[in-house]
Amino acid sequence: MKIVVTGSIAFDYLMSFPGKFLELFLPEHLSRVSLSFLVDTMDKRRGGCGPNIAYTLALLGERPLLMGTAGEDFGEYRQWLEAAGVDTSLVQQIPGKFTASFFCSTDQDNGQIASFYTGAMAHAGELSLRTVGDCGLAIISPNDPDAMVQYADECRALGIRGIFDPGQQCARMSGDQLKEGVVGASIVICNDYEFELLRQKTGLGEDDILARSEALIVTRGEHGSSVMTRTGRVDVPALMPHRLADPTGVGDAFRGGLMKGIALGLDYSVCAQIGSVAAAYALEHLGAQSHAYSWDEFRQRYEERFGPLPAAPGYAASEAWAEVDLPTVRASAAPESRWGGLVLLCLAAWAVPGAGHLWLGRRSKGLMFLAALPLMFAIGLAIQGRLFPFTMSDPLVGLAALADLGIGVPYLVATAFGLGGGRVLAVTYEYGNAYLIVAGLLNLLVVIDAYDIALGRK
Amino acid sequence: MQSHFVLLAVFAVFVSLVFALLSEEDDPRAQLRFGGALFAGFLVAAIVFGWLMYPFPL
Repeated sequence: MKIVVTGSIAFDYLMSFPGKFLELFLPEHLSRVSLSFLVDTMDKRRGGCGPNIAYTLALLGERPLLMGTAGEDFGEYRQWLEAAGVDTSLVQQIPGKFTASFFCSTDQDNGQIASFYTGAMAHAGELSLRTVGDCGLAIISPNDPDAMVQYADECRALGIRGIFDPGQQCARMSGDQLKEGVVGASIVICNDYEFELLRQKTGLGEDDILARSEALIVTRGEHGSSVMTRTGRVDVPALMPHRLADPTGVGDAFRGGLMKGIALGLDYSVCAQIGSVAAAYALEHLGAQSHAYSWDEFRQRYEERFGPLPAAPGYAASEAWAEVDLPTVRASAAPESRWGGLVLLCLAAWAVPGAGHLWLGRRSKGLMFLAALPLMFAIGLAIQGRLFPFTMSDPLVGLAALADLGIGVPYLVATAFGLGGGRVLAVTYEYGNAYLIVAGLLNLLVVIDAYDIALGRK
Repeated sequence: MQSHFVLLAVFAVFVSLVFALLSEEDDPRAQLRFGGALFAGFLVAAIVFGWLMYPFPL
């Protein structure tokens, strides 16, 4: 089944202010506020509802199609998503625009001042579900409001099973727009606060929504979620996280898990349980796309809380879930339990400059490192540089030897062929040493970069 | 290849290239700008230190 995820594609810029905003607002000058906050730290993270949902679906073995608009700065984000198993062929980059960005400063009291730059997201209406052949399931997550209504209409017209997820756009969309979204959808999902907004703006209650849709799912944070269908209501508890790291993207992870269950044809309450497990993983990690898990880990966690996974219609249980392999996520978001894979990645990155980046799907970077670093090392040898011996009689010589070794296999090849003897009298001797040592040290930095990428830090 | 300047310039190219690729910049044009600035910094610093070594030899 082809699954399409529509929604915002954005970067999050998260800053921390080492003070309290309230202390800086002067009541007598509120009519003319002019403030600038000097922040201590800033993180740039990959975000947006669309990629977050698609990422969870990819973790669960699907290859979702992400549909959305991004700016010219989307290149590396696209590579990251592709490496994670998300099909980004429907993401359109808008010339002259930046990807939508969320700028948020948080003070010591957790007070927040934020701005959202729409950027390329405003062009989402230029895309259409009509261009996707054979779409079995689609989610309309927060995006440009007009585009959301358009996608809902298209779901209805094309007979696509659509999930309407207005999210934070409940505040922005008019009652009529929200109504159109609800009418076009098979399933409506929102959190309890958003549901109240939706109810106030549209005048539609649970029964009215269920008269138009198969199911209404309301999430309630740590209190779990409620699945309402025409046959009744089931409350699904949340899964207790092992630790609380960051709530960003937790709702999106829930939706990804829910969609996986729907794609397998499971009962909505089971789908919500899968969503709860996916949400718990997201809650335990910083950022919305830095968590990962193997299927065995996911299933074990599900079964510890909810019991054995039910069989999907048309499958024996084992067969249904046997489809869920995790071939695509690989090391691009390696979890703590994949230390073996991480070690292997770092070893490969050390042995062959650029191999770590190539492994993680950063092809252009990997090829550049592969070309540049061995060439730099070779030039160092050619201009009479010396590969220093491992001796601690002079600590600097020992350190230089370690730096030389940093280049990996080229060092081993050079020593095997007796190269790197160095000629002290050569004019270029010191330059050669600098080339050899720095090539090794740069390769070690490249290894660390690959490690950071694998952990989702970059 | 024995010219100090050429060896220095080639060294600067390699280091600037790797640092530009390792930078947090996503946009290739921003990486190019950063790498270019780094490369120029290497050359300017080398020339400045080279001249300073006339009045203040090591």
